[in-house]
Amino acid sequence: MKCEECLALLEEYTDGELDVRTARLLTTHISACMACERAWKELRCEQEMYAGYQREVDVSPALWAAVQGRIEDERAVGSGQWAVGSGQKAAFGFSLARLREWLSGGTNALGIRHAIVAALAFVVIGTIAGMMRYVDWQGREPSREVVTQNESQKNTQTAVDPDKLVAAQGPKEQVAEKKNRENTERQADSRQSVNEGKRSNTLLAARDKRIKRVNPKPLAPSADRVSDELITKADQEYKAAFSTIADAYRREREQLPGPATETARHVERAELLLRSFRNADLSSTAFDLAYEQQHSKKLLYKNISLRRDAAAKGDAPTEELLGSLEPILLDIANLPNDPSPEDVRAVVERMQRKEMVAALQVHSMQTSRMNY
Amino acid sequence: MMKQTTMGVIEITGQPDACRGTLMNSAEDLVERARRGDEEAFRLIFERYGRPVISFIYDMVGERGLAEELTQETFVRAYRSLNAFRDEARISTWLFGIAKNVAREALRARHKENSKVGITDQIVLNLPDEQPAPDCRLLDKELNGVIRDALKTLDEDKRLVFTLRVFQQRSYEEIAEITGFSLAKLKTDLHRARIEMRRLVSPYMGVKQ
Repeated sequence: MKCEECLALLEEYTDGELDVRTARLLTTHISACMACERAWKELRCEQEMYAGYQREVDVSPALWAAVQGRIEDERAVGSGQWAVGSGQKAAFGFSLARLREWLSGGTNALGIRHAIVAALAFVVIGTIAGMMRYVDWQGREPSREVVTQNESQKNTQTAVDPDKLVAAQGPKEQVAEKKNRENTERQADSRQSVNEGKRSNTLLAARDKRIKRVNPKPLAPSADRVSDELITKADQEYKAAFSTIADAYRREREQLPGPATETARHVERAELLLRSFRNADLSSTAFDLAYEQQHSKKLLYKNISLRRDAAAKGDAPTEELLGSLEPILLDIANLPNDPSPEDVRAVVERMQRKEMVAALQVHSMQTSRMNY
Repeated sequence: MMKQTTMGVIEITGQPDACRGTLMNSAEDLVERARRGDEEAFRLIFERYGRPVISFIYDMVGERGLAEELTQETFVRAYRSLNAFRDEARISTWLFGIAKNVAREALRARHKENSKVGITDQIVLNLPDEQPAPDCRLLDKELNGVIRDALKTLDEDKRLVFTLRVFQQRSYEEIAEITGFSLAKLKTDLHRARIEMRRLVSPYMGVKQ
């Protein structure tokens, strides 16, 4: 295998997604090529770092209480699934449950069901379209009112010309009326200009703030620029320090002997084996699983010894995990020389039922979290 | 004590039927009991899968309160569709599928809400600058914060496959089932997500890019 091929498959290899044969080729190449081995180790190191990622969320009793509360509400509506009440509510619940069952395939009258479902879909689409039109109409309504108001004002103005009205009045009244009109117009103009001024000020202020936010660095050379440079420098120094400490931790952890590390390595190996086994091509008629069987046998001996160690130390979670792993390893080790697809499928299904790979991964995550 | 029989079969004494052992409260058992109306069984499902589900949702939406709310919604929807659920052995895949839908709906709703905000809205005007204060900058560079921030920069599809693979340890097959993506798409997205995450996180880890 060439380095390019190996590097292209490295992520899938680390994820345990390669078939047995390709994974074996990669293992051989990695053990012989230093550059690819380094790339693989870096990828593993990244994985470990992500495994140490801690979130600020947890499953609290309050969360279950909330879920339970909502389920109670569902039950009150009456799904008829858990507790069926009495009277009208129960009858309603029962009918809802029947309807749900019927829609999810409880009846054989396929043709009729499809027709009714199509009719229901039309009704729903029609209702939504109607609602959208109504909302649209509601949204336009105020502006239409404004237009109507303006138009009515205009109409009033055109219908009764003020000049003509003034002409019909006496000279004193005409002067007073003109002054009044001029005053009113002037006040309206000044109000409008004040409003426009206010609006433009708000917009200008908003624009200024936006500009400030979009471009936080000031254009003119100032103390801020110096502080930015200092921040960048501190940032770089911090990254360098962080990186050095992380490196030191990693090296220390790699050299750390002891049962915890031994178990962690064992769990990691078992996980890789199970992943590789899980990816066996079940459509194939012939399986070459001699390597897996041999490997499984070795891991089985180690597993028993580590399980006993964990039991002696009172480490119940590890004991339980290794106890669950043992039958699977045993199954793989005991497979016949030419296993049939059914044999392999039976073991794969057992692994899936027990969610064994996930359990091993959780253990690895917890171990690396403790080490970080 | 382990012994090898004449047939070459390995057995463990003290663990009869080790090969056929099934866990009490297995996923199938719990689902079946919950269907029959056993509330305790549904509580056990919540206890077993609640943490991975809330972690997954949190990684997707990046907000604690919202993650709790959406986890609640996920389990209520799961309860509603218990009868429709067929493959009991793959309960976690099923729950992640529901959680994915719930998280995506919330992200879209949030996107819509955000796009409605006007320029003169008080909330917009009061938004802090994107650059945090100098004293916070160093504190914010804790590794968890770095990973969290880096995750937020991924687009939705990449974040989805990255979270499911790297944090939730789902196989490609399961991810394809949960997301509905083709294998080729999820491999490409996962590869690109890893590169983007590496670019942002590696300066803190001494990992060469």
